[in-house]
Amino acid sequence: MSGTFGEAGKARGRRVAGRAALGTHRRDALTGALLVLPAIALALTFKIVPLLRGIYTSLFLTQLGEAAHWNHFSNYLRMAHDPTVQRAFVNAAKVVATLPVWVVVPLVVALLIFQRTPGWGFFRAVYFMPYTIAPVIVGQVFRELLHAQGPLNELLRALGLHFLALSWLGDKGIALFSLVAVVLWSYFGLGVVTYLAGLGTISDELFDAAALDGAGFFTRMFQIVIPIIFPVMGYWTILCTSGMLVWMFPFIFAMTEGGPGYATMLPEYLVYITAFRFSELGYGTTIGVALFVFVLIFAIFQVRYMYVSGTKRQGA
Amino acid sequence: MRAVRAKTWLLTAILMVALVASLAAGGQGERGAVTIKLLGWQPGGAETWTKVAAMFMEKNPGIKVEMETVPMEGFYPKEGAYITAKSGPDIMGNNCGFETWERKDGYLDIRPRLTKEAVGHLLDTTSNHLAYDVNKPSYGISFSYQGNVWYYNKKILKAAGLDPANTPVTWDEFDRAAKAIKAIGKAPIATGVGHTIAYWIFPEIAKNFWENDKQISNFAMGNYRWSDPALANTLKYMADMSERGWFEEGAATINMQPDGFNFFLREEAAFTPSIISDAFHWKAAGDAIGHENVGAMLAPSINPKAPFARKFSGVPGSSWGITPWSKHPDEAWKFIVYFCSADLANTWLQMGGMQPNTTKFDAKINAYAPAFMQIQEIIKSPMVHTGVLNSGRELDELSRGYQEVMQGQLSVDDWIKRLNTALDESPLKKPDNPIWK
Amino acid sequence: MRRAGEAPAQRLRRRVSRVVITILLVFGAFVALFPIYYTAATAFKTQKDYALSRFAPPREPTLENFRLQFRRFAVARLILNSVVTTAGGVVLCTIVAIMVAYAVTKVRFPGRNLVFAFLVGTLVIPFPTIMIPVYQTVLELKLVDNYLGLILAYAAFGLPLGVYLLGAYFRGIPDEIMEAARMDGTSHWQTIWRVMFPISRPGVAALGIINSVWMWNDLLLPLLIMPAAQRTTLMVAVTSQRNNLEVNIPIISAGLTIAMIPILLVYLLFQRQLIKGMTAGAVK
Repeated sequence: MSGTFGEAGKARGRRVAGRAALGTHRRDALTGALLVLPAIALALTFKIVPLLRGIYTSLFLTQLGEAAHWNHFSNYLRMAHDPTVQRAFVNAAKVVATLPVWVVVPLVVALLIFQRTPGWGFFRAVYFMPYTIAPVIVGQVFRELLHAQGPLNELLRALGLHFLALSWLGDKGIALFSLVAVVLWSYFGLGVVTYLAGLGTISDELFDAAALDGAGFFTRMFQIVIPIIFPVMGYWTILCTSGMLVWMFPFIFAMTEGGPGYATMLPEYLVYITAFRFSELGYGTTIGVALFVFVLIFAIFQVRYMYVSGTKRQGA
Repeated sequence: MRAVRAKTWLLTAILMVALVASLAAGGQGERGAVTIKLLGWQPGGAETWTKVAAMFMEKNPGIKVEMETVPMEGFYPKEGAYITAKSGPDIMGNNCGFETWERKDGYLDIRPRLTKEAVGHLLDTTSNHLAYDVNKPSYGISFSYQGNVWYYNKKILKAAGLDPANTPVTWDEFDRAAKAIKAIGKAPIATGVGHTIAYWIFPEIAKNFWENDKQISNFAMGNYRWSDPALANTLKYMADMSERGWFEEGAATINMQPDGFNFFLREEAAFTPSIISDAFHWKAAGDAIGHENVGAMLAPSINPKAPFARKFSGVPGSSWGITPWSKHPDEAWKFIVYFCSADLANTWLQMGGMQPNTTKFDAKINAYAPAFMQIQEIIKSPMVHTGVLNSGRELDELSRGYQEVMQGQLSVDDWIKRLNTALDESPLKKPDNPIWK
Repeated sequence: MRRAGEAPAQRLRRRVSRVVITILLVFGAFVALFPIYYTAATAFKTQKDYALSRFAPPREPTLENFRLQFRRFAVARLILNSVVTTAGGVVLCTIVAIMVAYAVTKVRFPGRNLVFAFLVGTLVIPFPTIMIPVYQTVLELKLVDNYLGLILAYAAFGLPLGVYLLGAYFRGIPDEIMEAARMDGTSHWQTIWRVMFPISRPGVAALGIINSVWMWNDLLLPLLIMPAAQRTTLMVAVTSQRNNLEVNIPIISAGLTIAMIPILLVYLLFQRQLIKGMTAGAVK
């Protein structure tokens, strides 16, 4: 393995790179541009151009099918005073606030599997399976499971836990969190797999050595495991922050349709019903543009963090 | 290296196949035959439509019919996309009333095509016109007739000590029956939420309070508000149904289609508010429970003597029309006329359980279903279906609000306020809107 | 795991914790698997069986619901449509993402971080906002009802995650490996496919699985881009039965089960690669 990849090889590589640097800059720039060109073309065609058209729609259209005419920001002014829109964004903020659960739950499960109790391979395989089931199926099944007279509550009542047998999808206070829980059910396997990969880099000797030193389970967790998988945690956190709201959309369809009332109304779903059920294409798109800005603000912070941590790791 | 090369070849092969397949896709439909495309949700069942299309294509060898079926949540976006892009299928369908009017840019005015030969046999073509005015554009025709009845399970009624031949007519009679039904552990009424609240439940309660046709017209025009007596009382009594415990537990958290209806099919409830055509009808109920066990009746009345109380809320089922961008409007119309023709009435009836929009059918085909025969009597005294006179926003608010009202989370007064807001935000429901002139 | 020199008390505590952990994991597995079981079990029931008990296993299992689905749909054709578009989407997305990941992490060109941020950032554009314009674009490209249209769309929508995942993965591969290869005279392009790709196969496989799943299950993109009945995907076809056509829930469940099986199989076959592939920076 030495030679190309060993220390000597690395040193030779660095010297060569240094000598060739000046001459290859322009070639690199061209190569880089060509390599990213297909991706940029796809992103422009299917995301950016449609987004720009959407912005145009919000500024020039109100009703479906009508001719385009400058509407003097009427859609935006209307949105600013629309209590339903405000409600939807408040709900979005509540969803984002559940982020810690998204980060911690898969970690806990990954740690449990990591203990290598009998059948751990089976569990590792099984916990990813929810992700493979289409949201439309998941939503429908959970709608029945979480019904106030459904099997979950039946089980809770049978165990004597009557106070826990809540109306999971009917109670306005908890419906949103029930919805988040179902979406988390669908995606937590992805997190488990991500964390397991990170945990896999922890050697057994390190673990056992700590045990011999008398370190308890929790001490070992916090002092050895967490620091090592910190980058993985960061990676997963960023994925969840940007994906959470996007992931919820198909589940709202299948489970609550924004109800009861507006308890689980999120901006993306509001865009959908405004544009397509009310046929108010211009106004619906306007709400969509507002949602884009809302998430973009988060995205900017994420990407900056990623960039910073990415360069840190490269330099390390 | 060999592994990499092998994989590269494999990838290339896959891409080649995909490309060739996609190129092949473009070629279809250009070989002589005219292809017309239809966007719909196949009311009456997929099998029936396949058969009808096949029969048409046999009679018309130069025309190919392609169906485009979509999941319900996809239907409105597809229409929206087609209308915006001014391109798409040749035939589309919507419910009569605001559902079509709010999407009228997707339909040609077919008044010139409404010849006696084409549509003379149809019972109702007025409802396909804008604002129900025959001097205004017509956006389609309908082969089926639609409306609201309540189905009941005779076995459950008998078990509750009730007489299936004498079903409740008044509010109080129903309340007594409800108590008896609950006593044997069944729910009186199976329901759920969704747009069916506006289409299936709202009109049957509102019937008790409309005083005259003018009020209903005003409602359509946006000149009659939810705080006005007829509508306010309707909402109050809809809430009353829930307060009296007539619905199954948890009705507010499920969709009527299909789960609320399935509650009835699982014989957990004695009654269910539903429709006579398309789906969720006597045929579906009878196939599940046994046709001899299913009956159909009008909803119980709060004021049985009110002018509309014992009338049948009727409207043509899905209005089918030609799209403005269609390159084959004549062929499209040919197909529409075909599947709306009197000849096909028996086919729709037999295979799909569709109530035809014509008298030219043989009711005896379905004599095996008592509920169907009851329906033939019920539809003899129709009235305007007020459910389809709700705008998109009102449809949504009726369901959303009812969901909260059913759980005691919203007062009727607040519900009225929200519906008035929905009304105010509905672009077409303005009295001075040109479509009403 | 052998633990040398453990005191008996510690061993007992460890055994108890193992039992507790196993119980927790079993409960979790039950929760994870129940919806699959429920959908599949319902598919084998008659309407009457379903009416008797929704959640118990079928009393008199029947294949009739499946037969009906095969009569109602050209299932083989639908599966072909799904396979071609999903495979095409996965392959295209992976190739394009590899190119970007390599360029952004290994090639020093100006603006590479901006490109990376831009591509990953497109994840946050809300879909309903761009739904109709996407259709208009595909229409203008004359790619409606064309496999290529959906493949391109899938690739575009899978790019943010692909670039993110492979970018992190490639970043973990030491630069020296690449530089040594370059020093031997190989071009960037050859370096990607002869050096980077073999090393990063696990990461590529992981991306492949993650993309396959959502592309197979997606409803809205095929709805817009492949509306014709013979071109639509399996998932769109079977879910279009709900809410309007079909009141019989076992029949609907049979369709959903048919749609679930292929992607479950793909996952089970490749799940080992998935674990290996999620490791970023594990290449030593």
